[in-house]
Amino acid sequence: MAKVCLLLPALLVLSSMGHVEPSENQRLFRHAADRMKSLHLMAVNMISDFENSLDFDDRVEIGSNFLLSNCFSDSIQAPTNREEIQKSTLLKVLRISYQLLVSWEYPSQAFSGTLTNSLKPNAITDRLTDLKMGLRIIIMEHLTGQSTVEEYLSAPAVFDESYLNDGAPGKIYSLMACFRRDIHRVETFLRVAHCRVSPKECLP
Amino acid sequence: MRRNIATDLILSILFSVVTNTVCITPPGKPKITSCRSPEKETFTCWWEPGYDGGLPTTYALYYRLETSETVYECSDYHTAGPNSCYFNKNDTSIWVNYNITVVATNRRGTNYSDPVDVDVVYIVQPHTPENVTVLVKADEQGPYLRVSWEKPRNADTSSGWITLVYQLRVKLKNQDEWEEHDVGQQKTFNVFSPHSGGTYMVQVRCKPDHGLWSEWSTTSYIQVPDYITRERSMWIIIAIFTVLVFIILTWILNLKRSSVKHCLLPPVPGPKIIGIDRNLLKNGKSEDVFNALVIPGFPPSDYEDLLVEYLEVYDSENQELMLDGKDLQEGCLKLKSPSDNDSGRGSCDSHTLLMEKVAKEEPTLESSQQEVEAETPSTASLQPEYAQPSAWPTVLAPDQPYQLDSPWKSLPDVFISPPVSPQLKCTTGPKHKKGLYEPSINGLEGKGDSMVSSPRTMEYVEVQRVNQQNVLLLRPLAEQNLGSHTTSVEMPEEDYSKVKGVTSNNVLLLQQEVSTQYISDQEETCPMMQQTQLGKPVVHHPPAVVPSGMQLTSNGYVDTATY
Repeated sequence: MAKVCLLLPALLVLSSMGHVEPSENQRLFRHAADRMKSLHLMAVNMISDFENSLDFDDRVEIGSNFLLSNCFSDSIQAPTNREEIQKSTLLKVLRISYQLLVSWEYPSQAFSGTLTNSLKPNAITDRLTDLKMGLRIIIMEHLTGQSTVEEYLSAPAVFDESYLNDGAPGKIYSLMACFRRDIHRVETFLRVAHCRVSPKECLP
Repeated sequence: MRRNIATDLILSILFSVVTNTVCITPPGKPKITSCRSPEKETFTCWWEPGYDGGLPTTYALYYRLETSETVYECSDYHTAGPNSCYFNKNDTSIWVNYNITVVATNRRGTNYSDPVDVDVVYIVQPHTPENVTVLVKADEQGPYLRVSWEKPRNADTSSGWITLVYQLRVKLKNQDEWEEHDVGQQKTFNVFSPHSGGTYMVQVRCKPDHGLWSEWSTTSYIQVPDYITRERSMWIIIAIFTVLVFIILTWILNLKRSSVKHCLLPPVPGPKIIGIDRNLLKNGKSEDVFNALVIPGFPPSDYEDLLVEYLEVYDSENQELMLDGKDLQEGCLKLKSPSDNDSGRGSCDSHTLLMEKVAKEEPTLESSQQEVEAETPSTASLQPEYAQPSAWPTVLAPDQPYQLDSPWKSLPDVFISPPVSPQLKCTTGPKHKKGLYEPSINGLEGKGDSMVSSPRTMEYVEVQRVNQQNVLLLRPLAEQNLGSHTTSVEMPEEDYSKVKGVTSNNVLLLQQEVSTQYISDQEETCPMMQQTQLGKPVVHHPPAVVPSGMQLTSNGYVDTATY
C-alpha cells in the first residue's frame, strides 16, 4: 500500500516532465513519418517547378555546375545505405534526423519566393519547425539520462549565408537539390525508427 | 601468267586497303538507356552501343560519386546481361549522386557516352508482385472475387526501408478496357458483383513511395459460375407480387363495381316535387305534367272566405258623396289594405302622414263641415269642394285622372257607399289620401259639432269576393262581428254609414253626416252615390252616444283594433 502511494506521485512527476505513453510514442513516430513524406513531396514539386521556369542557358549552367557542387549538410555523418542504418542505434538515427532538420530551418527561408500552387511563403520552414519540436519530444523519451538533450542534439551543420548572395540560378537549384535529398533521408530514418519501435505496423 | 597473278595481288591489296579505310572507324557513341534499382539497395545501368567501327569494341562504365573526384569502373558487367553494369550493395550509396559514363573503345579509337546523374532513391522500380491469386468467394450478399498477392522479392518492407503501394486492374475477357483500382499498402482486394458466367483477367503492380511503377504481373484468369444476383431475384419477386396484387384488386373491383361506383360517384339527388312524376317529364307530355300539378279540390268552393283583405277606407268629410250604382262601378275609391300602409304611394300617402294631415286639416274640415251642415236641409246635390291642393302630392292634382299608377292599381276600383241617408252628403274638404272616405250621417248633425270635432273614425271592411266586373265585394267587419248579413260593396244597392261606435249590445253607431274627399274625377260619382244612398233607408241610425271605452279615430271611425 505504501509503495503504491509512492508510485502515484512518481507517475505524476513523470507525466509533468513530458513522459509519453508507449501508444502515444508510436503515434508520434507515425505522425512524424507521415509529415516527412509530405514535406518531401513539397520539395520534389518545388524543384520541378523551378526547373521548368528556367531558360535553356540556365539549364546548361545548372548541368555543368551540379557535378561539382556539395551540400553544406554533408558535414553531418549519416548512414548512406540500408546496412549502415540497420547497424545504427535508434537514438543515433533520431539525432541525425534532428540535426538535419535544424540545419535546414534557416536556409529553407530562401525557398519562400519560389513556392507556387497557393502555398504560403514560409510553408516549408513552418513544417520543419513543427517536425523539429515533435522529434525533440521523441528523443527525450528515449534518452536514458546519459546526457542532456541539448548536449545530445548539438553540432548541427552550419549554412554559409553568403552562398546565395549573387542569386545565381545554379546555386539556388543546387540548394534545392540538397534540401530534397536531406528531407528524404530524414523521412527514411524516421520510418525505419518507427518500424523498429512498432514492428506490427510494418508487417511484410 | 605472271602478269595475271601480280595483277590479282595488287588488286587484292588495294581492295583491302580501301575496305579498311572505309569500315574501320572508331566506335560509335554509346548511350545510357536506363538505370534501375529494384529494392533501393542495388542498381543496374544499361546502355546502347553505337556503331562499332568495324572493329571489336569494348565498353566500360565509369562512375564517380558526387562527393569525390575518384572515378570508379563498374565491377560487374554480366549479372544484368550484356551492355549493363550491376552495382551491388557495397557499391551502392543512397542519397548520393552517381555520375555515370560509358566508354566504347576499339582499335581505331574511343568514344564516350553522355554522362548521366543518378540518385538511387529516385530510380527505384521494384519487381512485380508475386503469387497473384484470384478466388471466387460467396457471402450473404452474393459471390465476389478475392484477389491476393505477395510483395516482390528483395523488397525490405518490414524494416521500413522501402514502402510499397499496389495497384490492381481487372477486366472481362471480351472487354478492351481495364478497370484500375488503387489498393494502397494492403495485399488483398475484392471485386464485388461479378458477371455471372464471365471470365475475368486480373493483374497487379506496385510502386515505392518516391519511385517508379513496376511492370504488371502475369495475368490471372478466373471463371465466375452462373448465378442469379440477389438484387435481380428481389426485383423478380417484387414484380410477381405486384402483378398478383394488381390482378386481385382488379377482380375485387369487378365484383364490387356497383358499390364502388356508388361510393365514388354518388348519385345526385334530383329535385323532387310532390305531384310531379318524373316519368311524365321524361315522356315529354307537358299537359299531363301540368295536370298533375292541379290539386283536386283546390281552390275550395268557399275560397272566398280565404280572400281576406282588410281595407282601410278613407273619405274626406268635406266632400259630399254622390251615389250612383252605375257610375259607382266606374271607379271612385281606392281601397287600401291595412297591411299596406305606404305601398308605392309615397310618403304623402302613408297612414302616419295621413293622420298628420288630418290633424292639420281638422280645423278646416270642421269649418267646412259646419258649412255643409248649414246647408244640409236644402242641399241635395253634392258640390264637391276641393280644398287647396297645396298639401297634396301631385298625383292627387284635380286635373289628374283618378286612377293612378300605384300598387293599389291591382285592386279594382271600389265604390263604398255610405249608409243610406236622404241627407247624406258627400263633402269634399281638404283632400286626404285618395280614396279616403269618411261617410257621415245627417242624423248626427245635431251632434255633428261634437261629432265633427271628434276625431274621425275608420271603417274596416272585408273583401268578400271579386265579381266578374272586377269589382270588390266588401263587407264591413262590424257587420260580420255582429253577425249581420254581409253587404256587398256594390254601391248602388247598399247604404253605408260612418260608424260612430259600437254599443254594448254590439250595435253599430253610425253617423249620418257624410264627409268624403274625392278628387275631381269623383265629383260625378260622389253625387251619384249620394243620390243612391238617399233613395234607400238607413240600415242603422246611430245613436248620438258613444259608448264609453270606445276609441274613435280622428276621422270618426271605430278602430276595431281596440276590441
